[in-house]
Amino acid sequence: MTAAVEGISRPAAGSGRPAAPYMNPYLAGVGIGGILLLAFVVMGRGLGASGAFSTVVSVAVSDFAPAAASSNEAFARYLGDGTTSPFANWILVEIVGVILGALTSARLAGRFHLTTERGPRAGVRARLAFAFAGGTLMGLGARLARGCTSGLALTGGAMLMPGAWIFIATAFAAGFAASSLFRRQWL
Amino acid sequence: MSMPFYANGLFGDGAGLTFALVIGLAFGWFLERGGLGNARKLAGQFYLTDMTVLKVMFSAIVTAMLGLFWLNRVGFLDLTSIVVPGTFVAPQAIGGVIFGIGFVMGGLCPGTSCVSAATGRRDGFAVVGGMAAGVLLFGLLFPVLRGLYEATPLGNVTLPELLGVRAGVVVFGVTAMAIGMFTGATAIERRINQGGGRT
Amino acid sequence: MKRGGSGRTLGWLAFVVAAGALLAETVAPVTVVQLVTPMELARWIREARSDLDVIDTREPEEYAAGHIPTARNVPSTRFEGVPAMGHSTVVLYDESGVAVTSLAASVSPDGSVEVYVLERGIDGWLDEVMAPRLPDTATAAERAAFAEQAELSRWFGGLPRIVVVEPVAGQAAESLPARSKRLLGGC
Repeated sequence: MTAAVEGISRPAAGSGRPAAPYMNPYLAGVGIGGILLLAFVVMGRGLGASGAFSTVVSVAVSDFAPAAASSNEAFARYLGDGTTSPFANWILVEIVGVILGALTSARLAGRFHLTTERGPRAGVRARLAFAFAGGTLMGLGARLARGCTSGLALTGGAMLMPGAWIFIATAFAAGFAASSLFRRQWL
Repeated sequence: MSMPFYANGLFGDGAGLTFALVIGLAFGWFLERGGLGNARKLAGQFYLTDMTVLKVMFSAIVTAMLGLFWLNRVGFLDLTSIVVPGTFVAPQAIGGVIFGIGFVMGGLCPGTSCVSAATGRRDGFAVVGGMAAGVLLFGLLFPVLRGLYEATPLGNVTLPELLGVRAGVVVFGVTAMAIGMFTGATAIERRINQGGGRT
Repeated sequence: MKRGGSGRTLGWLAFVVAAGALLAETVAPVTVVQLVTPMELARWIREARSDLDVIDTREPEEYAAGHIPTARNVPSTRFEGVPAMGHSTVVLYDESGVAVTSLAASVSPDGSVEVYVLERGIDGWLDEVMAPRLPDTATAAERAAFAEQAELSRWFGGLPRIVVVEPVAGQAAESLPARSKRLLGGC
């Protein structure tokens, strides 16, 4: 169970150079909290992630079936009123930043490589299947809850929004409860 | 009180979106630095072998929460300009359950799946693809789910308003709870990793 | 252990700041002033809530020229120690909703009364309740939502209208606090 030890990340394949250790989680957390606070102070809003997915999917649906998209509120609300591009969406642009920031950090730390993170007993195909299935559940859950860990838990949590804390509690509880079903994937 | 700057008209939408990019860059940077782009690390939370998710999430929440309280208190930040999203008990609880199961299954959340994919992880891409499918599914099922989606609204309330307790008390309570969890987390982590051996 | 050290320091820092918050709240509590929208206030007045006290903080001449139904007049110049008259929900308003916020804080220093400020003041009331407008390009969902607003408006003797929207060259100034929803909303 070596890879589970905190602070050690696997070296980049073939580079021979050990990857940099991860940052202290408390410091990373405080850093993220500071970023969240900055967003509140400058924009009057917090962070998010699932909204980016909603925007892209809604635009895609509207390209394939415009009538279906505009008549379905779940998609229509991400299409805007026609005066500006639906891609001029704060969360979407933020996520583009997240991707770039993560890429930069990984490259500088020697943590970028094409691989599949999985437990020692899990096969790649099974892992990818579970990843896709898990993503589908999260897409459904995040839309139903009107947010995900970044938008609802972190942002709402800091604002002391009851729904955020309900979401945190139920998500953690469900994750713990379901963990025994997926041991083989991770341990 | 001139904060939040955007709400007070200090700059336009273009600058706002530029700022979104900058904020995202920093967010992605810190997430990757903390190892949250690694699905094994994140999933470890649910097996108590790696408490990083708990530590990062609650450190972030407490930091921002304390910042909001004090900036408002000293008069720099106008909290009434920040819209508190509405709480909907049932869909947020049920959505939370579905989300939690998906999280332990995939090992990544929506934001961290982007971080993971950005660092070359195939499973990151798979979760991203799954998220899109899930969002699409929600949209297609919306006519059926709408009732649940709009059920049990509490309004744009905060915990202090809901519980009838002063904000400072709630803030202290949340901080104390977080510190308590951190103390417990380190102890649990140590025990599970030493005592557990091979699984 | 460097990790334990910085974690511990942050923990103590957080505890001190939070304890300070608790102390500040206990020793010198501040009135929480909330915003109420004209539509929400209209609903409250129609419901004839017994705990509601609406106060017009403008000068008597302006009050006489026209005020929100059920409101009483306490000009801002004579606002010292406003009697809450036993009501638990107080709504203050003035011309446009900005200056009155500072008065609101003095209404109930001990927090026993819920104090609200009417968003955008009587201007907002006239706009949203007395003369609400629906653009003719509205979607079906928006029309359905407008129906409630229109009905409430008529109850107060207002005139809801559907208007033809002309394309405007150049940016129209957005009112504060209604900045672009696509930048402030979403998760």
